[in-house]
Amino acid sequence: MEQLIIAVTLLILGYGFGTYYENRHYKSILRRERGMSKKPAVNMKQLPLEGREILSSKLAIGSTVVSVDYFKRFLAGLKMIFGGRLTSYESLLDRARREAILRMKADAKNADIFLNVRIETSSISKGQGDKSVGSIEAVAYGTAVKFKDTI
Amino acid sequence: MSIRQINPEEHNKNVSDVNHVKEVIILVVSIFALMIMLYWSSIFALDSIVDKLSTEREAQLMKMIGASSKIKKMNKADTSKDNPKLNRAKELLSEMVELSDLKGREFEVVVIPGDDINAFAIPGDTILLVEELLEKVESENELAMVLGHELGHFHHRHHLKGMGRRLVMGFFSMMVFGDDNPISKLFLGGLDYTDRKFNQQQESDCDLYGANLVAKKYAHLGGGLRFFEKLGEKEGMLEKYFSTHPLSKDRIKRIETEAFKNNWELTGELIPLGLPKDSASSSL
Amino acid sequence: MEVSNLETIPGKNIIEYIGLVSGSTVRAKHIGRDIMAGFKNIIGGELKGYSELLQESRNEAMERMVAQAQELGANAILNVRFSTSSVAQGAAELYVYGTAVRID
Repeated sequence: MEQLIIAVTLLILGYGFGTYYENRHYKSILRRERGMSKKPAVNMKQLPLEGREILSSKLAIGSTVVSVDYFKRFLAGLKMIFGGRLTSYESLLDRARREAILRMKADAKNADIFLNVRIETSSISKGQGDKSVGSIEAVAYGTAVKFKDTI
Repeated sequence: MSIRQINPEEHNKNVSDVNHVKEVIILVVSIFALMIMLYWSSIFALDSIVDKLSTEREAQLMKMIGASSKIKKMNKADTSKDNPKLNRAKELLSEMVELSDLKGREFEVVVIPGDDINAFAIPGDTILLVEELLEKVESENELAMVLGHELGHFHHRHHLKGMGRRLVMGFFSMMVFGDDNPISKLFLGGLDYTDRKFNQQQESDCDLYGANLVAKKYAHLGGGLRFFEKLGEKEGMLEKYFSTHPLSKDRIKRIETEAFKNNWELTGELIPLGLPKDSASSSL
Repeated sequence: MEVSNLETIPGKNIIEYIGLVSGSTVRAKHIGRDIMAGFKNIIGGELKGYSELLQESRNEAMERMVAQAQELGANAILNVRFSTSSVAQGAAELYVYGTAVRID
């Protein structure tokens, strides 16, 4: 009985705080993405740059580790029984990848464009049982290119 | 060639727009319904299989499970301690077995120390009587009711059924959820409650079986009901929901209804314990 | 919508680069399939349920990526890459991304 109470409390706490932090994170992601929109990222190796001279280039990397809350993990656990889309993990993956791209862009502040961008994800801290599964690392890396005179 | 200055991510479709709380509620409810249905249907199937088993098969199974003769040996040593009440209980038990459909099986009675009024039927055709019960029992009729009730457990094969139940339960919680999961805790909690209710049903069935035997032997139920009244003196409301046994007053009520149906007398002459056997026999 | 894992589409010119578009999905099969797959593991062979699952997930991820590109006014996605992750055990997490462009 006590275990049940603990589980329900964790669910409520997880839902409350999880939703709050997720909304906050999304707001910040959107705000920064708008700010970065002048520096596009593409995964092409080369662009026909038509005479523009490259001043410098460097490897830019951004990574982040995000965890999913107890409530969403619980929901995913239930959903696994019936199968189908695990919608509660979607926002986790989405947040992690967008954050990683943003950090990559922030890594090369005065770049004009990012070429050959790659995005990888891996899950870390996978302990025993269902307990610690649910955190994800996203890493984005690409070549940051600075033109001689900006467009 | 040009590069558009927009933020593509704002248009991404990677997060479905669903209400998670609603999803959880629907899933939890449907899982509960499904599991309980599955659980009960497998229990029902198991029980009906157990009921259909032949006596030899049952004995074989019990042996396999390990209902050993250990307790019987323990009992042999115990009898040297001469207890007239226990000896009478043994005689009474074999007389009652003769009257019942368990005829031909050998049952043992063992006294265990303790200070609550209780008796147990354990695998291996053995009935345990708590010392305090023997102490408090006033007439042969009361003792017959207790023994009859315990024989009911053997008649209904409750040990095998209980075993099956635990097996199914273990299988379910292992296969579906694993141990360390809030879902399985929720689910097992629910099953635990329904199981108690089911146990109460079993006990009630045994009461009727016992009453039937007592009526066969003495032609009335006097004393037997008196015993439940004694048990009932200590009970509160909480027991109704959390005990594995029904409340004594409910047990009496059910026996009375059954007695009414079968025209059993509710009162009659009581035979004190310890009387010589020949003067006590009034069996049909 | 042209989807290619080349950097160009032969015979076409790229007019405009739009940026990275991506599609991702997390899907699972029902528990019965998981149990069957466990048995199948003993004798080996193709796990039909999981093949199907990955196929479905990949298609869904692609659909999402294409939908995003369409909204942005692109008509081709180049240099498409697939990748996976593993947050939940027994679930397929597919991620696909590429560069959305406009071709003539």
